[in-house]
Amino acid sequence: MNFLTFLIRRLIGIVAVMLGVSVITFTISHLVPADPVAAALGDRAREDQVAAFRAEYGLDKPVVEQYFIYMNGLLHGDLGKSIRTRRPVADDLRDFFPATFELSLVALLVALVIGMPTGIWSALFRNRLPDHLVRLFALVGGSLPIFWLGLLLIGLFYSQLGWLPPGGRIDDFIPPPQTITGLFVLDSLLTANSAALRSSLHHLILPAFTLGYFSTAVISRMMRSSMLEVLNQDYMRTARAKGLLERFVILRHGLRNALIPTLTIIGLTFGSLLSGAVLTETIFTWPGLGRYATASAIGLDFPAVMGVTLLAAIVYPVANLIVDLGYAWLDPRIRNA
Amino acid sequence: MFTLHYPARSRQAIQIALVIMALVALVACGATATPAPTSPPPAPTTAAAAPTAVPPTAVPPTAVPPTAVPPTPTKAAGTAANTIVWLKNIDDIVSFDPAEGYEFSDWLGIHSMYDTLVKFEGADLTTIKASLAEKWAIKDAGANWEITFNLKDGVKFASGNPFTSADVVYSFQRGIKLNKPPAFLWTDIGSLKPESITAPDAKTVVLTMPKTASPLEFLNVLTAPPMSIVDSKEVKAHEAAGDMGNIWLKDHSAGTGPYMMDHWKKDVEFLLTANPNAAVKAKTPNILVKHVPEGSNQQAQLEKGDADIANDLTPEQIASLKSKAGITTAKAGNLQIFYIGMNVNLKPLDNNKVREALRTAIDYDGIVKDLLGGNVQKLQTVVPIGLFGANLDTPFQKDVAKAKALLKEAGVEKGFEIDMLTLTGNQGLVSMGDLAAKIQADWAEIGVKVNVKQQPAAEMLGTYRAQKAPIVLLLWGPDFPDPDANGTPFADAPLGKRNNYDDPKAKDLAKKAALETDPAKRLAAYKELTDYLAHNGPFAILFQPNQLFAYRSNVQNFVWSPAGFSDLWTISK
Amino acid sequence: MAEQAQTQAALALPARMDAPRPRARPALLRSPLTIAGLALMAVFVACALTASVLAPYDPIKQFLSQRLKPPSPEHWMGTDQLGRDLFSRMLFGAQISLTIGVGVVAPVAVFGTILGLVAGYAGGLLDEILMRVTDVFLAFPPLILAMAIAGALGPSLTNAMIAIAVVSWPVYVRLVRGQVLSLRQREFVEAARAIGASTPRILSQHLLPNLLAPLLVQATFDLGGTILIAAGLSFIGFGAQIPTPEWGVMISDGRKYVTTQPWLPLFPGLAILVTVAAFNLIGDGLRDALDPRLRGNL
Repeated sequence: MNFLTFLIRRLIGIVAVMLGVSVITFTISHLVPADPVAAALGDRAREDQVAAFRAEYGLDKPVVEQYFIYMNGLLHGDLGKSIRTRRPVADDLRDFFPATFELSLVALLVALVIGMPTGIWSALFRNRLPDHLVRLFALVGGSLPIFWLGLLLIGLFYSQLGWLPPGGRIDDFIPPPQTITGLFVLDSLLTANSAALRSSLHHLILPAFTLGYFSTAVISRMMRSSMLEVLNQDYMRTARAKGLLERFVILRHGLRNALIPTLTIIGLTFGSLLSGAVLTETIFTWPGLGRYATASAIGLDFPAVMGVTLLAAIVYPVANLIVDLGYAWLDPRIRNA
Repeated sequence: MFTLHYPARSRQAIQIALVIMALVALVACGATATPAPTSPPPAPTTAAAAPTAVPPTAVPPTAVPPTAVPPTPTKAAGTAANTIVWLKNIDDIVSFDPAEGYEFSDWLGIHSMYDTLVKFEGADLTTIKASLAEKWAIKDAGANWEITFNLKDGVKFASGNPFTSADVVYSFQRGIKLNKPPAFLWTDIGSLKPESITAPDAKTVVLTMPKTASPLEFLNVLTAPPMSIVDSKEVKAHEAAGDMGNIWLKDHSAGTGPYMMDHWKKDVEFLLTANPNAAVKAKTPNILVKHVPEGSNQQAQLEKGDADIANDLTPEQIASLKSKAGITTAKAGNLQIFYIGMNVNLKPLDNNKVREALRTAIDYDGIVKDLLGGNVQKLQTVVPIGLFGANLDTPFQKDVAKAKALLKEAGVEKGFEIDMLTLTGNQGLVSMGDLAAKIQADWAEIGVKVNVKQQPAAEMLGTYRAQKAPIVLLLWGPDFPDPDANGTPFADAPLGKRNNYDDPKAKDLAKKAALETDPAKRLAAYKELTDYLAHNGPFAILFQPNQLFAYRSNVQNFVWSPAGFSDLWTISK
Repeated sequence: MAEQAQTQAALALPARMDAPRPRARPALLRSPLTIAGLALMAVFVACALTASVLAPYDPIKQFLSQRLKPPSPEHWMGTDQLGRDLFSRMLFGAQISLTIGVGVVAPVAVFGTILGLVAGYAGGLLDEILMRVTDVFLAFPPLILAMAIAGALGPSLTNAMIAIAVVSWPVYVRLVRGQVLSLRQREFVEAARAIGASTPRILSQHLLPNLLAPLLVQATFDLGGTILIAAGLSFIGFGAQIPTPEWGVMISDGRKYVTTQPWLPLFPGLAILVTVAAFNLIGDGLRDALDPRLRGNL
């Protein structure tokens, strides 16, 4: 089997998964015992208004038919209309996704930048003080309710110290950069807008750390155990025996090998970042997909719930595909497996 | 995974990681840059914003060429000095089209972007004043009432178009034809049809109203934001597929009011800028209303001076802010009523003695004074303080013995178990969960076990509407400042009906009171109705809340109308 | 957050456990961290089981005149917005968290194990179908799927538990199936098959005992993960109903008081942190003890 077949097989797999995902999300969003129309139309709606609304959203049709109408729309890029915002769901997702994507990317970066060195450090000083500190740090990261962490961080860094903003993506009085990608940091860089860049980075610090702490912990632990394992390998002993400087040995052999399992973690982490974004965005009034998802679920806004879950569910398989492609490129044995 | 080690290849691993991240970024950007082909063309929502957007003063140039059309028309609100930053939970916003928006935050914006024919000024909801109409007269024309309005001269819309009677006719007919949530104001309260609104000349409008409706009541209706007059020429220019400009007007404005809509980003913010053509000039060039649902965030930002006004603070937060330098707290009226509704189709709630027992078991004073720290007003009838006909009697106070006796008379002395539905989160300063827990504890004392179910509005209203809720703990706000905005709903539909309360006497009293044209007789009629409902209806009225605010002390002339909005144009700092 | 369990166990647990494993217990108690974890869990379980005895007050009894009092000798953790004793509520909260954890993890582990055994042992089309179904469920970010389910079913503790169960079962199927695939080739299974043992007998007598170790590790991590995700659901309004003293709800209610009465959100948050950390420590310890090759590494 060559590389192309591998890729095609995986892509077909993803499509199959997405089909399953669509069935599940559709089923869930139509489990709803209550009628979303009531809230959408307010207290005084008359019967004719309710009927018109139900017709507008296709609620007057049998559920199976609704599913096929939905899937047909989906193939044409139409995700239906949100009951809550009364806008096409695709428009809503396009508006809210970049904020979440930016936050998740930066959180992942935070996780890598903190998680990898602390993991290595921990392994090198195994069972000594630095190791204990890092392990405690990782333990807390893996056990904290992140919404609670967010509350504490705002209390400390905004209310008490006044160093960092409590929420939002950019300062009220700094215009957001011209929209190219929707990622404020990237757009500011592309348009050489230093004020927007500074402000958006400033606004990213607390939410990105809050969101990334859990992944930091996972990566740190992963890195530590990989390093320990590598340090015990024969070739490492050989290298050391040859008299090379230990530091050099570690960098040259250990780090590289330990990176491989960490790559896998990145794929897995993306899914958990999206979960965490729901809570992080609530605390930091971050105008992203997580908050949109929450509001939609609360509002029984089923077209929006379906749109969000579909989008969220495609991120994880795609991230994993990319990671696997990385592996396959690295090693023919996996590609052919 | 631990067994995979490929030393020779691992430099590539780092490169791949980088490539992957770049790829992921690219994919996302692609997705954002190319709008998905959504079915109906979303009108010129974004396109129109760019050319008309006036860059506020003194901000670094963003290098937006005039031809570029940014997908999101967001921009910053000028400077801190010329902008009032107002923090509020604004996730309720549906639309700023006056004929559609029927939520509190919609009205906050609409009220300052449009004018109505007549108005109430500030917090006084009893004296009708002239606005776009300088004079009006009610005439008994036999089978009908005729209300004639003489319109003000020289008024201009933000576009520069002159205001004429054609705009009034268009606005009202548009409201009826669009058939959105506010439509009932014309059709049900006013018994109006599109052809009932006529314009004999450019400065006169006549409403012809059947005698099944009350002209006095409708004058009060005319002060409500849905009755705003839109610029018919401007709106017609933005019509798409027969929508009467509805899509465009959701996040644009076409009014005579002191402010214009700059932009609205759902669940993020909306920004109003001063309308240069307005007769009444705004004191502050920009009003930025930001969606900050967390009260603790609101408080922190207000204390730091990053915001000017905070809207959703708890009584405890207000109390702690009172002593802070540079911050002023304020309490304003609010016409809402917190009530308990009891489904009279369900045993034993069908027995009024049981309902009276439940009413008698509630610790009203504990709720008002302790739980809510005196930030709400005691109220036990359906017409609240601030409206014509308010009934301030408080016939109920907690009396466990009396309540138990009533239950015994009704044959349920051992008590019973029942579900109570309520909303999640806070409604204004009131935590619905805490209030429900208090009621639950009070009723437990007379042996009534309540299972509280906190549900999102969508779910709860669905059940309530279907007349299937056993007991609800909810709130009601009048749609317009007239006692009939509560009288008919509580005595008849929708609230009475939702609790399956079908009492000809109550309905009759409500109807008579609404149609009475003599103020003194109307007052007496409302007294009779409210007294009757207090003891016979399916409700227990708990209290009337206040609206709590905290703002920076340099903010001046901040006025809140109990009708649920503020005259934004008077605020300065 | 539920990813935690998935990533930690699914990745770090190598699929190459050997069959007999006699030295588990002494090894488990060798690490001071694991002992700390066990001690914390013992405290947690003790609080949960004896809440009704230990609690100085009724956790739902309101004393409006005593509302929002700071910690004091009468109220060790202060009182909440309805004048309820926070310490008593915390104790009962432990009970609820334990119920949530066990109530989700136990049935999910059993269900997942059965499906995993079937998939791994039967193979073929059934295996293929089951694996694709787990693929679909694993594609969702757990909290988003749980939120959608809880939203649709309506907010209640039971519905939140159902929602979490729906997102957590596939991990067990994957885990057990992987183990079965590697174990079924081993001598002792081959031998059993050779002497004519029936399939159910092979599954229950030979495979299942060897699966217990990795299952135990996964379940331990999942107990913590479930408590975290339940708290997250409660925080955004899809969890326990009043007057239930659930820790996530207590943080959610308490966040309004974070600037004025900070103890209200502080204590429940700490309780979640410590409890989940305890499960994570024990999970680490178990894994080390059950897999000698990694001992001391993690």
